[in-house]
Amino acid sequence: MLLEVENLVVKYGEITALSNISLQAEEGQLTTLIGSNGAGKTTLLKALSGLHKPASGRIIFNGKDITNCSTDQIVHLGISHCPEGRRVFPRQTVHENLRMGAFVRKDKDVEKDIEKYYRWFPRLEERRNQKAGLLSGGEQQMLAISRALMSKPKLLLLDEPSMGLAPLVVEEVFKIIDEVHAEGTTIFLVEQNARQALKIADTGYILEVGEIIGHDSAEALLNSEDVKKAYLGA
Amino acid sequence: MFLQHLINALSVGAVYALLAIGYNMVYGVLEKLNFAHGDVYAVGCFVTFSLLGGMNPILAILIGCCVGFILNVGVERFAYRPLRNSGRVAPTISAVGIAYIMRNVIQLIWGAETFSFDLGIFKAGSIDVGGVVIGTLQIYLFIIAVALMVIISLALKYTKWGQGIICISQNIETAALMGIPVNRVIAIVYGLGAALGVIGGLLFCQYYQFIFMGIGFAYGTMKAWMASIWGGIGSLKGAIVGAMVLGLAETMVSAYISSTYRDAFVWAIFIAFIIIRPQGMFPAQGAEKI
Ligand SMILES: Nc1ncnc2c1ncn2[C@@H]1O[C@H](COP(=O)(O)OP(=O)(O)OP(=O)(O)O)[C@@H](O)[C@H]1O
Ligand SMILES: [Mg+2]
Repeated sequence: MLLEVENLVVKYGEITALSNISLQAEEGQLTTLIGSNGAGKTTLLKALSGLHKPASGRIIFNGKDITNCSTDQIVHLGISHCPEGRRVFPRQTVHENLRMGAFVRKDKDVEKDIEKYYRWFPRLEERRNQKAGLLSGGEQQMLAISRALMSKPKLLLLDEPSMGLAPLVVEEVFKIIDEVHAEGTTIFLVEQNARQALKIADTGYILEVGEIIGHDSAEALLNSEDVKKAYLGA
Repeated sequence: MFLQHLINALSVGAVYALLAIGYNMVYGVLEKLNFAHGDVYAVGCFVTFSLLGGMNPILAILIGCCVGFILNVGVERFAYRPLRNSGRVAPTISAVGIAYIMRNVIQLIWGAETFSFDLGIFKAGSIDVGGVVIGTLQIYLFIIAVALMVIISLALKYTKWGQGIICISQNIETAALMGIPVNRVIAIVYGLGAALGVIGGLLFCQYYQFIFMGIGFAYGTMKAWMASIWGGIGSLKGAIVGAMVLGLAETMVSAYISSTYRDAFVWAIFIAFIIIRPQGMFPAQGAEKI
């Protein structure tokens, strides 16, 4: 297992946002976690990347206990977290944003990799010297995903990449995630858009008010009556 | 005469810019008003002042800068970091407290007198530009201040760590997600801000040829604050332009209106300006008005 979360409890002051969560993500797979507003999806990702320390439980990544590591150590170990709401650096150019994604890298291929993402997203290349704050929502999402990939992570955490995007752009974003996965990157995808997420995922978890209430292969979840009723609007 | 006033204004403005850049950089990364800025770097200035006579002045300046750096790293660690997430009032009070402590430290060690001051590296003199005589000290100060500003701007724009600072000033969490060790970088920014303040403070003392325990607050923090607000808080360009405007306003008011009531006039102009344009001339995107 690349990632193992054991009995994780995360609180905000007195409020318990995640109670006793356990889950796993296997190397090479696309694991998705679906849940509605306020279920605790973002909280889980923040705990994984060290932005918010859990109250108890353990996070094991690549065989190492990272529960008490700082965020920059975790990035060095190979986890890249593409945050909710994209969070591109608005005052820096597209190119500078991509370079910041490679902050932890010491090799000489950074510019070459940036060119690779420009080939994936020609619209980013056209705007390479424009301030990232001026991009459209879809373009910012492409930039945020590329920026997260620039650190060459072993595990990519994606927090609701489809949020606030037009349906056509959502399709495009999921296609890209599928391609990144096909290239061999392990992905942990958090989504409210359950149908799209389950379509490209290998396995899935269902999170409801801080607890995992279901876990199965993505295909089985797509066909489950309960999931259909609660998350697929059928 | 006007040309001499203009040169004076530009050199005073450039010195204020050094003070304001350090102040504004700290504001940029944490959005906290650092009311201890001037009094912290004043300690470094006094250390240099004490060492002057006994050693090479450049070395004395470097040691003063190191003292300012270390002091401000300590202040950040113990007075600001514990309060980073507790709103704006607590850190401001903490900063005012640090300012008083620093000023008392200076008073305890060096006393409250005003001392005459000379770094001993600038030959006082004047040059003749097409019939107009201009003091060379002013020109030296201007060149040094501008050179430092250019170095800082280039370092922020073109180095990996400079860009890291820019990321932190936009969003600390997202900067951390890039793998930037944000706490360490923030401490270094505080340190550099104070080191720069020491140089600015020393050039200020050189210009007016005196040093006393009040240079930090009255001539440092307040000028840096005014310059930052005038130019636009949180932006490097804003700090520099604001400082130049402040230098111009001060010099021209004392030359052509009244040198006794200079500060009153400058404050009146300043207040009128912030009523009309509270965000300053070149605010950083997303920065708030003060
Ligand atoms: N900083 C915070 N302080 C206090 N409570 C918080 C904080 N952040 C989140 N919460 C609470 O924790 C719970 C989980 O929030 P979280 O943001 O993780 O949900 P989410 O599943 O990501 O929701 P969404 O789909 O809206 O992004 C919510 O009840 C929320 O109100
Ligand atoms: Mg969320």
